[in-house]
Amino acid sequence: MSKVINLGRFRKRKQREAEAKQADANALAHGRTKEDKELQQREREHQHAALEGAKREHPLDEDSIVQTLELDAPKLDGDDDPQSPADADDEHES
Amino acid sequence: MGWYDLFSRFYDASVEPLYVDTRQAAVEALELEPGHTVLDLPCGTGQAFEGLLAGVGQDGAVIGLDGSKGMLSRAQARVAANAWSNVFLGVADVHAVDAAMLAEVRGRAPQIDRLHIFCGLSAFPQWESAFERLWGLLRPGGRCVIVDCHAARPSFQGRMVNLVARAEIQRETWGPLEAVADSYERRELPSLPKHGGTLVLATGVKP
Ligand SMILES: C[S@@+](CC[C@H](N)C(=O)[O-])C[C@H]1O[C@@H](n2cnc3c(N)ncnc32)[C@H](O)[C@@H]1O
Repeated sequence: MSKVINLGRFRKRKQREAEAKQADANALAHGRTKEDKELQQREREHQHAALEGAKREHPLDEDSIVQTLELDAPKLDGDDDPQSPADADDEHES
Repeated sequence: MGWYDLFSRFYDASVEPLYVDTRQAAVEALELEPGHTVLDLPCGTGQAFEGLLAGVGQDGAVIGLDGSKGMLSRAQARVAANAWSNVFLGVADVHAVDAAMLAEVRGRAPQIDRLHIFCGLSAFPQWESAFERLWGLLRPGGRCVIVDCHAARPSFQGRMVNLVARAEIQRETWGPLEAVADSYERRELPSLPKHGGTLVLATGVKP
């Protein structure tokens, strides 16, 4: 019985092969070996991880900055805060 | 190709008797010689194979491609039932077909001597670029035959054909061939109301 070849699959395989060849050719043209690329990838990942860590420690989005400032800074006014300088002044006066 | 897979189930019963003479006219216009390789795209269920094989003989070959697996499984059954050994079948979108695919189906890089496009250009989504692609696969000196149905303003029957075959019979499918071929000829073939329009046969040789 004759076969029916699925040329859609054939095309995808050929495309993958062509891309791999192109990648090899690019590597040759730019003088980078597979090891170079792996090393560079590891360095990139390392840098990325370091940056992510830094971001978590020093969040840069506006809301987080405001929250951080609110938490860290002493409140300058507010009636219900016993530690506020205003209350402290009152205590001194009485 | 979902619709054509479904259509393939009743395609032979509904279409085959309608095109017997038309297929014969297409085969004659191809001017086949023993040893030729014909690309039949879309081959559908392989209704043209018998005529094409009679022309190319044992040393020739027919490469039948179609986008629908359903159509091709019927073509495969037809090939098996007739024990034809020189028909090579593949599922392919005409908009992607290239020489490497033909080599994959044929088992070696074939020279395409004849191009048979029967009721294909009215159905392919990007029919003009599809024709260009197929024309590119034909060898210089090779002949192309296009047969299709045409109606500038389809009647009710024509609109039914458009609906059922997912076709656009308003297209002047011979135009791109006329623009590039040598020895170009076009003629109308006997048509029935059931065809939905006028059957047109166009032929030309690649310079
Ligand atoms: C009206 S049928 C003609 C089939 C055959 N030539 C015949 O005469 O019996 C149209 C055919 O075009 C095929 N077709 C439609 N779009 C296609 C595409 N993009 N690539 C390949 N085949 C396609 C369908 O699967 C169907 O078999």
